[in-house]
Amino acid sequence: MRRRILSVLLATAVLAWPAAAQEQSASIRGVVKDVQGGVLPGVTVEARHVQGAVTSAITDADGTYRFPSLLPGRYMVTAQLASFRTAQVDNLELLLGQIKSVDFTLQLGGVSEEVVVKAEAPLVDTKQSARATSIAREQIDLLPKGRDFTSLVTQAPGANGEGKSNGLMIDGATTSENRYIVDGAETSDLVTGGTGKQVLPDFVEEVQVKSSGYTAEYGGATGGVINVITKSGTNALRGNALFYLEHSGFMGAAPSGYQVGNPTLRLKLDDASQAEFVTYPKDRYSRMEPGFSVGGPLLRDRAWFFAAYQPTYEQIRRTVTWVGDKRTQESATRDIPSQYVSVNQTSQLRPNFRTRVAYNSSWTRTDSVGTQQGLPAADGSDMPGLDYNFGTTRPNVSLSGQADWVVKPSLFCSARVGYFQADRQTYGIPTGSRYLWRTSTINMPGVPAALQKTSGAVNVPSNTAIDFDKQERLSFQVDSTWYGRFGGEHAIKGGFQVDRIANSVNTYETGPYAQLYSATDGSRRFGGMTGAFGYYRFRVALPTGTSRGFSTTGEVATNNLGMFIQDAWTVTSRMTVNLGLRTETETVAPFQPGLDLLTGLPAQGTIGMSAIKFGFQDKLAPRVGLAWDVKGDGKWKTYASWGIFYDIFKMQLTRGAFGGDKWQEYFYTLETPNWTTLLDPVGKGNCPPACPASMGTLIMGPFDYRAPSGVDPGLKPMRSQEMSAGLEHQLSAVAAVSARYIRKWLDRAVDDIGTWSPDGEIYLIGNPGFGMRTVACGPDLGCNPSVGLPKAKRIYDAVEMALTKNFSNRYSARVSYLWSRLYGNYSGLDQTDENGRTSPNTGRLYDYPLQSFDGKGYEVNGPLATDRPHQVKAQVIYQFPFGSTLGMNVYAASGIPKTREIAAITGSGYPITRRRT
Amino acid sequence: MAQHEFKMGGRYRLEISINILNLFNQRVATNYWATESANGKYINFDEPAFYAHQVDVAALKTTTPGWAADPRFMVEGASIAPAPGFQMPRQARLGVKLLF
Repeated sequence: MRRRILSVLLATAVLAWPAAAQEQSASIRGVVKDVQGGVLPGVTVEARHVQGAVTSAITDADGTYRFPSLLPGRYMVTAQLASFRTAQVDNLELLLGQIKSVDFTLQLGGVSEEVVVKAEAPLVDTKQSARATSIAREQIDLLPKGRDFTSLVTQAPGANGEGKSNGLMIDGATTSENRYIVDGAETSDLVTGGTGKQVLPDFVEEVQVKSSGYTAEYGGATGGVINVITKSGTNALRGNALFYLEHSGFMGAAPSGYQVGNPTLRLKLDDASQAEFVTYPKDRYSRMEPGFSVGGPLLRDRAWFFAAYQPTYEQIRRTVTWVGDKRTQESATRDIPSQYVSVNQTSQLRPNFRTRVAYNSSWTRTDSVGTQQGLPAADGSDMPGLDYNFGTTRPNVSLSGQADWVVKPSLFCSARVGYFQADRQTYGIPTGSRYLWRTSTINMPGVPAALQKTSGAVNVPSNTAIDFDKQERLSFQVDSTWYGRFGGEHAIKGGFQVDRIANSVNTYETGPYAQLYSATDGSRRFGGMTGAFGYYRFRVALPTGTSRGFSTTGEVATNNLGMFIQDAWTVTSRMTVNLGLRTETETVAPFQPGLDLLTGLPAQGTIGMSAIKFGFQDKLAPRVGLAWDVKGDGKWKTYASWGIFYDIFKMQLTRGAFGGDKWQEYFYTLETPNWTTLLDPVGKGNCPPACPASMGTLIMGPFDYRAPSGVDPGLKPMRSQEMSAGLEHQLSAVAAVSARYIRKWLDRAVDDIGTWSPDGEIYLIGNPGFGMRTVACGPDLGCNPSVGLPKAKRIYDAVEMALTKNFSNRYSARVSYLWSRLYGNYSGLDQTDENGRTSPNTGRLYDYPLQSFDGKGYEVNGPLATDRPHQVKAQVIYQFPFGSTLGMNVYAASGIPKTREIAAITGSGYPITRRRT
Repeated sequence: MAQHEFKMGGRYRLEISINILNLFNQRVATNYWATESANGKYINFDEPAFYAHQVDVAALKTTTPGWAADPRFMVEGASIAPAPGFQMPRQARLGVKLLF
């Protein structure tokens, strides 16, 4: 019986045109009655968009009409029937994804009367149980913002920009757990999961943030879904030419990533037992941004276009005082050009058929490679004379197409295709060996002054070369919605989605790379084996014998499928039940072939094609929601929802754990202060491991980082659940209040779970606390059955209250207060307890069991690093009568929970650098 | 954000604007130094004893020869990339836009 039900569901989904997720439209539905309450069939209802597009529908035998797919924006909706006065709703704001109910009551009128009866536009969407916040053009144009759409998202309650998550957190979920969609094409970074595309706010029509309760058509996210729609053309030719200027002369800071004038905490250069705050000179910064946009009709009322181009020219000039030789100040200047393009075309050649094609691209040449800037270190620790003329170019393109077709009043079909490509290529990377001083040698006995270095000093700013690192996503989605009646009104939607994702990469270090430590104090690290001047570790790439260090090479591609079916079932005129079921397949393709499908270890005689594979049965995600129009007047809504959500792996997992990243590491004693020729023998003859005595004595190595990890054969996908309940009330024609309670919790995570052996670190991809890693394992997999490995725990509770007042009487306002609690032991796919490290499914929390325990040997469980118990947000726009406008965006929050960590060495002699005390 | 619009005749308008983030240039600490051990300083213990709750970490800090605390420990405002130590200082952007 169970199989039969599943078959029926799948068949329905396929027949109904199988899945969609990236909505770019909104809808209106309603019922038309006469003053006696009788339904009126045959009424012509027109929805006229402010840009000029007109769509019409005829009420059916039940007096119901619907516009299943309309462009977001402001509408005038009219209902006309012979012998009745025309009824009209003006200025109906329709935001992305909303289903607005607009009911009409027609009054009898004379034959020649042209009287129009106006009704109030509804503010509350009484049909949906999802929580979404839309930032429309008014907010985008008139409120303070940065130079990317992500700076707009933080206007939504529960959505915060967090440095410790390296981006946007939504309802407690980290940056990599969100999905980012631009004009229907998913633009999430395939490797890290964060936002993979910069879109200038000048191009954006609306940003929608789905925080909770979203229906089964949305998957692949345990966080939020962020939808961006760019501007479209209208019936009138409109455009602008603009110029923006930023300059450090009238601002407190350059953008993040440069020296901004804030104090920096550092160890004193001549006494590492003391710390000091030092304020380095602010970088001189300028950014010039000319641009233009134009939009208009290609065919009046039928086809429109929009095009925008905005290049930017940034320049940073840094002046430093060299520490090493006490020379006077020197300066370096970098130019950073970028180009941004947005083009789209919308057509509505027939009233029931609309298409939209959109292209968004950016190209940037940055002065950095990863975290290494092409500028002198602000503390002056670099050696004079270094060449900083290196950097990275980043082309980035998305292309999408959508077709919406109202086949007949009871059937709506939609198809979408999206393509996203991002690449990186470096230029000017220095060659040769790279040395980094992990500890200071200032005033170290026996070290000549010319060779003394501060902690963090390098001889080469970066030697990481990227020939290419191209990521591509090609997605295709179809869905259809059938409207019908049985036991109420149904909108049954089914869909199918195919995502092909690929990564082609060749990055490497142009020479061996050594990290030097001046520890000579007899620490038990590595058995206390150090040289006269400490020890050093250096790395070379696999296979042994090359002179390159860390490398990521290879090419992988995989297809993921998704399908869903859902029903918005209006049981009574007041109550809508949203039911849905989603499922997906997922395959993680390994960079290194020949992995056993079950264990992930090198196959014995068989060649596996995937490292991890989940079938439809592994990712069943039911969603249930209820929305109740309390008084039946569309002004009070209460709602509740529950759902299960699964993550889709980011490619960092296959790069980090399945053969993409490769290097070998050796530890040697440091017997000479003269580092300048230390690594010269590397790559020559049989070094390593047979290196000359001038390099010191081998302490440990080689360690292979990372040979492919094993996979728990019982591995299950990362899963979270959420439940929410809320209330919305329309206070007036322009104001509404809302309250929401949300609870989200992780059922399980997927991570690389490590231990230590004399051959190096050993990792298994598993569910911490489940399956093969139910118990903690020590060196050489000596698992302790009495010590349970903690399960990944993250719980988010929040109560949110908000007031929205649309623009009238010269002002608009949106104010919210949010109380929340984010606690557990696992931050998510981004490591907030590692200061914003982004390494999905390969964080450090489970690299060694000790890291999940506190100083007394108990499981860690407490507030997570981005817990913000109290948050207040306010956005206010005021328009003065003399043509000026003032926009204000306020955010205040409490928090930064404190976690203490201490470094420990256990019986293995291997240092554990993080463990909570 | 403040902006003012001038009517230029016909459908042409000129708009000037200033966009400011962190208007009052507040400097709120957003991070801190969490690692108690100085670089290269470790405490040593037996793992089975630790899991049996028989290890006193606080005592180990005083009994481990050569162990030292990092002077930055628990100091707010520590920048550990990519997490900044302080809130971003004031940023400003001037704009001029001709609309038609």
